[in-house]
Amino acid sequence: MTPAEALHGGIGQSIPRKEDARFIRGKGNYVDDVDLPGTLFLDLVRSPYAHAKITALRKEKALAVPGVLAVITGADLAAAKLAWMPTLMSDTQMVLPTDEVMFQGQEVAGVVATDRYAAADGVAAVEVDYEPLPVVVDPFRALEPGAPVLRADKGKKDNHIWHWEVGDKAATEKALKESAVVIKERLYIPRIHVSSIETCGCVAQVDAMGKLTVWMTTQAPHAIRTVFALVSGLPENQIRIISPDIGGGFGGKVPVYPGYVIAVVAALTTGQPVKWVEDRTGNLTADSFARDYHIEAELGATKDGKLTALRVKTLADHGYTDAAANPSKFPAGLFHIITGSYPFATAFVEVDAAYTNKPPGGIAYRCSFRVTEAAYTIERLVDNMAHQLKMDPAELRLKNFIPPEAFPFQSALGWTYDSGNYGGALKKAMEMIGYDALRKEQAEKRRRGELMGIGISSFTEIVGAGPAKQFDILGLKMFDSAEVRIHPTGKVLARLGTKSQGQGHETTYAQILAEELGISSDYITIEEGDTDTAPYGLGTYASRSTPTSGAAAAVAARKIRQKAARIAAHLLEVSPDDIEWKDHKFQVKGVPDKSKTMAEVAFAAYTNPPEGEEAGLEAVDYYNPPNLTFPFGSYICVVDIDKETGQVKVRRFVAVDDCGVIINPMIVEGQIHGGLTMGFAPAMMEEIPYDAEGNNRAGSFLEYLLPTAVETPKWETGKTTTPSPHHPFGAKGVGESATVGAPAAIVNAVLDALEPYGVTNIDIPLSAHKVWKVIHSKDAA
Amino acid sequence: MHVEGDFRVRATAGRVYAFFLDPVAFTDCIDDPHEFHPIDADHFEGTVTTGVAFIRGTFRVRGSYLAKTPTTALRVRLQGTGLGSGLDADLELALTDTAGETSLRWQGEVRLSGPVATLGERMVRGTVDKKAAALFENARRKLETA
Repeated sequence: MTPAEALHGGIGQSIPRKEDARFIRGKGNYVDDVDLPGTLFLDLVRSPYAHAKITALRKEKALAVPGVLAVITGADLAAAKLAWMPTLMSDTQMVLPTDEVMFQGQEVAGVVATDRYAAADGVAAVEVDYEPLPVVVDPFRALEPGAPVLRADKGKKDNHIWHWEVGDKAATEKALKESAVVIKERLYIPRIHVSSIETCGCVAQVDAMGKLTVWMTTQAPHAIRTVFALVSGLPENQIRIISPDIGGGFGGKVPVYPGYVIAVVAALTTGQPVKWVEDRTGNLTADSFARDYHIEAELGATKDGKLTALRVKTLADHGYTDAAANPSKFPAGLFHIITGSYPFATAFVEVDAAYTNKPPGGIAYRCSFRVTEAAYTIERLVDNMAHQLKMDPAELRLKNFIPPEAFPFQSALGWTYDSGNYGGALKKAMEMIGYDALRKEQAEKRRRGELMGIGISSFTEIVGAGPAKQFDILGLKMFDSAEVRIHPTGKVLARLGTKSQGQGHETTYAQILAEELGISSDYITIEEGDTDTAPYGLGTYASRSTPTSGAAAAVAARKIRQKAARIAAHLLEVSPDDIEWKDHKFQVKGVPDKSKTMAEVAFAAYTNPPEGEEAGLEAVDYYNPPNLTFPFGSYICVVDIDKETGQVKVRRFVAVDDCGVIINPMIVEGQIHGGLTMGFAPAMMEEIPYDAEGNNRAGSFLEYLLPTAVETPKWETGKTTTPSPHHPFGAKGVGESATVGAPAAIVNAVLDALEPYGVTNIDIPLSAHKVWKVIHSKDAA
Repeated sequence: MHVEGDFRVRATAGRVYAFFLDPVAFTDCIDDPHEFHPIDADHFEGTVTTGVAFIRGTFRVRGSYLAKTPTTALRVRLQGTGLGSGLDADLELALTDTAGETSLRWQGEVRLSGPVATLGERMVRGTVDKKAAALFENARRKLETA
């Protein structure tokens, strides 16, 4: 066994997750576990109407409820200039309304009481008179002349928010005209909700010195602190945001929700800690949503299957405010990764956004800024093109992939892909699933009238924002950070600017540092999420933690190694030039027996530093990635469809992912399993529909269907490894890849099964009823 | 949601009309706990504690008589909020007197919003139909025994 192998918890080892020691014993510390003496409880009055004028709001009866101490209204907040707040996209959002509600479930007032039950009773006793106004839930209708203008407060004359486009319009038009085959498809990717196990909540406390501490379910505590400071006028040093353990985020815990702000106002006004934890219906009706993209896409090809051009026109339904969690420069996120794994000579994408009477949309749902929408579109179209050309979908992809030698590759829409081997991943997936045999089986079954389908998705992800020159949120550049300190006995404390919501950062960051410092991960403590102690960072979402803070940890460790090498030289009585870092320790070049471990060096750093060398052993790095990372994968799904019921059964699903160098294979596999399930969910089950009155028709788990273990297919996973050339140790992000890639594979499989019926699209989710209708309408015809 | 129904009662149309023109009298036919009082000749208000499935609580309801055609027709609008939900209903009652008996046909549109509406029509309709049937059955009983 080499010393490298002996290191416990280095990169590439499937060590158990350090944080699970508390989670599996029920010892996690979530917001609702924060129990401060004298805590008051906040509950929220919500609007039953999707659009209405508030003609009166009476709090007297609520204040008469035993235990109710305060009722906070929009008028109260307006007096403090807090009735509105900025969104992450520099739009404005109501904290509480003063005269008009914009969506069903919107927060209308806050009731503060001595216990949760009194607060709920107080909510029921608040009297609000509404005058219903015309409702617009369809973004196409919202843009028609005569539609009710929802944001007249902004001086708007219509409901159009913005238009954004990228690519060469004229060249794409010409290329499509000249293409032998052009297919066109309209796709709707409906609203869905992340539905984390833990809903949103906070505990706000103001101490005797006037310092505000907020324990909060946020994926981005540092940015939240800055936003709080800017909105409230409180000095930023007087605000401390603590993200304790978080029960899932998936992008849903990036925005600032009114409940947070109202709880803070309540704490400031009552002088007591105030806790707000939303219930499931509040979570499903008022928190930010994902997707809601209406897409029209055209794909051109030559007769022999060479893809020529892509044109996409999209209408995005943003609800009543643009609160999308996107980098400022990209209002449609990174949707322009839509050229995917293919070297289009030209492409053109345009997106328009509209206001509707729905809650804010545009958060991620385990996806790096609209990448799922993009991957779904291109992978659906490529399969349709294969069917149009009577080509095998795998063959069409293999014929068109960007070849490995073309990287770094400049896409038609402006991205520079860092690395990739798409053919390698697809071929591995085909081998794992036995693709050729499945196609033979399918042909046989088709002859017998049975419905079996095989779907492929060869997606390209784009994760790890920054670089700071291109990426910011509200002006905050998207770098991220790590501060690493080695104690005298060689044990490590590292603090990072990100915040785990279940991803396993305490383990993976420790493994990065173990590898870089030669110290067992058992002796490395990771801390995140406390703005008073951790270095500033932009948080965890969009699979950015490993590409940014993970990189910062490695770079900080390397900075430590530079100083440590000088101390090792001092201890070994050689010149620093004669020291090399090898096998996780400092060695005299050519004399491996003369070496010092990092622990020995650390002790010397505090007890025997060389002359002129500062004591201590620590470093900070704010890492600004030179590029994004581009993980990718190829997924193959096999489905059987019951013709009588329309029920789709996912028989097999093989997922081959490539996320570069893997830190902990077990954790990555877990991430992929979770991601695949969250890809299966919108493909087959999840949707938040609205009726014409703007009622959310899926406000509980009776209607919003999450896949359980019963519905979830058995996942088969594989990997290829194509390191990122610019990341310090070759890693890419992975948390979201599977969610991005899975839906298209599943839907492609269903449509492949239904090919004899000539149907080219069924909008997701693919309920049995929708599939049954296709089969039976075509059978009847 | 469209609602409709009819019933016959052994009472004159004049009595039935007067009964439904008295908000205290006809709201007293609601099976759920309630309290209503008139505001003026055309308006009334009150509360009813009711629910659908697991969502239960108190609705604050305001009623308006939109049209009154003595002994033959009434139009009533009900607007309420509660359970974090909204209720707007326009109901028409048509009365026909046949030899001392009255046929009453009622129909209208009920619009729900908020969590109650979220439950979906398949759950709400059954409850609405059941409660409406109970209200008119109670009304028939009162009219025939008074």
